[in-house]
Amino acid sequence: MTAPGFIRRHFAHWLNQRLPAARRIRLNQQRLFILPTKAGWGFLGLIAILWLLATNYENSPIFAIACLLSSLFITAILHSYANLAGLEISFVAAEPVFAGQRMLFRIAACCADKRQRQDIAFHFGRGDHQVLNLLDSKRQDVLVPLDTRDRGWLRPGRVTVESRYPVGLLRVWTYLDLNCCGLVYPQPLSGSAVASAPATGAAGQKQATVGSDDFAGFKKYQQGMPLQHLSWKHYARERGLLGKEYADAIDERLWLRWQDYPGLDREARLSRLCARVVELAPQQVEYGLQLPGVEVPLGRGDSQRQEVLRQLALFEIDSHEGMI
Amino acid sequence: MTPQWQMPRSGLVWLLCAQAAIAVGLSAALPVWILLLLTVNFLWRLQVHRGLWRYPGRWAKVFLLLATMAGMVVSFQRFTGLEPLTTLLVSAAGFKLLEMHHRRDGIKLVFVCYFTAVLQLLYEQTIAVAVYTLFCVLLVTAALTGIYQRAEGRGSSWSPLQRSGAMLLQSLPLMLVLFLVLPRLPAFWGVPGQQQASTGVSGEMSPGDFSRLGKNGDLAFRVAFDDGTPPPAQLLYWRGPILTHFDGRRWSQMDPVNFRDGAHVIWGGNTSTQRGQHWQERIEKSGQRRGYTLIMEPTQRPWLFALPAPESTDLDVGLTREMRLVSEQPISTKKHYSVSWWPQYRYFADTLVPWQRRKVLEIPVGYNPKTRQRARQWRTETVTEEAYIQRVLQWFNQDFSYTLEPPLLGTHSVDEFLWQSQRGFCEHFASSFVFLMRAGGVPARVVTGYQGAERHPDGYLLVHQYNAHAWAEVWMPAKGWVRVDPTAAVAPERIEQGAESFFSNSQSALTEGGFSLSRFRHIDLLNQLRLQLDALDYYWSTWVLGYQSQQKSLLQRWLGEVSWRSIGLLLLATGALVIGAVLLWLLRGSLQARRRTPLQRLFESLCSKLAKAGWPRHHGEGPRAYRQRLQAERLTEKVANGNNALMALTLYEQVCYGEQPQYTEAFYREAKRFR
Repeated sequence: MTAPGFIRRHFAHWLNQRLPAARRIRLNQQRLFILPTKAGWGFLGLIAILWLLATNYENSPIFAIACLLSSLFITAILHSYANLAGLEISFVAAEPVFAGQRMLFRIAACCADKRQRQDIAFHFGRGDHQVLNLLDSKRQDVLVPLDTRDRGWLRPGRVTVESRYPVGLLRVWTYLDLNCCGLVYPQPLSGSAVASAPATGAAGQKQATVGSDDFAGFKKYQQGMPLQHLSWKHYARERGLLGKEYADAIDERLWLRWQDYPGLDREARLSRLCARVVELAPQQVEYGLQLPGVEVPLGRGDSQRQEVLRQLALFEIDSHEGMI
Repeated sequence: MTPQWQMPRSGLVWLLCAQAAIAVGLSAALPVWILLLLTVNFLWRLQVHRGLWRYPGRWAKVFLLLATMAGMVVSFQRFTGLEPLTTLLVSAAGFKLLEMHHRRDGIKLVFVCYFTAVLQLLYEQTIAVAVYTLFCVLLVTAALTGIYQRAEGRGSSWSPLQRSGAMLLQSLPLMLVLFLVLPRLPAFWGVPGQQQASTGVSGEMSPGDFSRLGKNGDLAFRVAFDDGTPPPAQLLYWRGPILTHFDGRRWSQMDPVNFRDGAHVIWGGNTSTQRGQHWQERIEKSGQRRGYTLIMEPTQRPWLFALPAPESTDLDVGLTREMRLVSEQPISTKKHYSVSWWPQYRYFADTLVPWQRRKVLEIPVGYNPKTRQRARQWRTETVTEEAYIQRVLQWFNQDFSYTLEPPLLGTHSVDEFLWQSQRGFCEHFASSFVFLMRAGGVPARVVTGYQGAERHPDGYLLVHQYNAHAWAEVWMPAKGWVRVDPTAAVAPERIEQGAESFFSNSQSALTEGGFSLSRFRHIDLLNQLRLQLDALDYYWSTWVLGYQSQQKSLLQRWLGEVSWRSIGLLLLATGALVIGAVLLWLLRGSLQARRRTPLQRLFESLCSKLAKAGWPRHHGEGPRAYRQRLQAERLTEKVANGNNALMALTLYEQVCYGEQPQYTEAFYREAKRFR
């Protein structure tokens, strides 16, 4: 089914000329293509049959109906075009996912006018279709899915925006390069972890009581305290915001290190490390990452998790190309 | 696509409506059991949609299919022809309702519906049927839109109808242009017509035929004269079948004869270049040539009607040796043809070919002995043919009377009529007159057709079935074939006043034919209504049904010369106009939204001035990034007034994005200062 390589290259080149990449693209006659669908060709065949009927029976009213249907086809072209014309399509963002998961690209469609748009489908290549209707609102977002496989930056390329509205006889479509990209973390694979090295040198280190979550007492709320450790009961009784202290929730510091997984190849190591991050992130643990040439200092919280996963995702990948 | 695709409710509703409307429209052509079958299909489909029933299994389908086939065999005994085809399509559409697993099934059904809707127009082409078909097309289009409707919102059941109505309305102008301009081609191949009883003049004449037609108020044809002035009523003899052969009771047409002076029929006004003298050259016409167009109602018979000495250049119209017009195909839909005619004519005046003379003198042996004997006696008493004819006509005038209810006649019909009853209708007079002529040795034949016409206020003529008439033609040396109407000798007012006034005075009413307002012509208001309706139908016939014959002259008037190029240009120009208008209407919102504010326009002109100076704004570069780049590239040092430009950009940013409209004036000033 796929066209030979050189044709595809030429087509891609032509598309790049005609539809250059941009984060926000307004659809107009330059950027929209229209061709009949199978049903549309069938409709044209029907018109041909009616014309034959009219000619052979010398039946003028049937000729008029054939003319009406031809004219209807042309009107349908205009309606199909109007359904997409004037729409502004832009890429908003894509949440990072782990390799193998489905990434959702948030794409926004806005129209400056008050016309209704219906049945606009978005998809990447062979990915699933996602349908959008702009009825009363001026802006609507759509989450276009794409399955991921490898870590790193995922660039799905051109998104296909198409519509068969209102009669299904014609397909109006365009391929937009919205510079869509999303970060794919390595696939987390747990197993055979050699104990990560406890961090040393930091003050106030305590013996870790692994697996214990004994309640130790309350403590005045400080910024940075995890939300799930707040005592909402006290807060509700207006006794101030108190945090619950757990014996094992006090600073435990871990370094996630490349060399902890000897004998594995790069991707396997990254996957193991990734699994560790996933495991550690919800716990009250400070952790850092050490990869050859890359080091993320100790830290915790969401931003730490993101930074560590990002480094894992982009390890030995030219991260420069991800910047836009 | 999901394996069990569910048709949107609005699509299904309109599809069912469309199918029901089409079935009702075609019900006259369909056997009754089909309607029953359709009802079953509809109910089943509705139950499927409600989730109560399932689609029929394979055996149920096979059973339904076999039942339909059996029904068709019983109803039609055949599978070809228009009615079986219609039945097949309608029942197939009904079955398809029970087999909709994909969207494409719905689409196929919609196409079949379009086709069956149009089939209505093959059976009848009246305005009413055309309007109804248009209504059906609207419903089918609503079904098509409904199938593709995904956004179910408020009022969604009606919205497909509204949308398809709007689309069809927007399509009308272009349709009109296409209809008017697109050239019509001649038929590619012969097609089966519908099976219908033939009407009008029958091509034979048995006693009672014409008196039956005399009570029929249906329209036979309309005639429009090119110069708008029809000839006087006594010249309006519309010649149809010529009856030469008489078997004692029944007059019938002669078999077509191809003789060495040419074929029986010449098609499309071809003047033959055969060796020897062609019969066509023995027709002499003189006086001013005039033209008329005749629109004939369907008769299912191939003959056409025309004034004497006709000539037609229409390709499917032929002229026979008997000087009358015939059509290639039986007339199954309204037939338009244009004819030229001359006030004076003479044909076959030089001589009558012996075989032809024999044919037109033939009388059956053993019938009507008294008439034969009396004819020979009178012929010997008179010197010339003219005198003999005068003698007979005089006798008719004195002793005979005209009635629509003549007494029945026995074996020797001419004898009984001439010597006993002496009361009759045109057929009796024509028949006995020709018999008398032949018995007296004068070549003669019966001509059937119509006589007279009703004049419509709009200037055209209406010829009804009660105008059906039979008269005679006799051949005389040096004069050729001459028309003699014995009825005119008996009841001259029948010819002069026209049939309708003649009959309205007599007690016999128009009792045959379909319901027609002709019966109430004595009530002025209803008569006005009848004439108005007839005018509507006349213009419909002329401008829609028979547009093919108008098209050439109309296009010539518009374009000067008619060629593919000029037609193409006209289509292109009008098409572009219409499409442009529709598109403007469709995009009305966007175009307004695209209108720029003065602020934006000034900003754009500033950017273009900078671009001319060699510092274009990059694609997608915002004002701030632009300004920063210009600063970094040291614009102020390289371009005069560069400072103003940078200032203007800063101010623009403040006005647009910093929500500080007080800088607008300053922006204007700075932007204009930069040049």
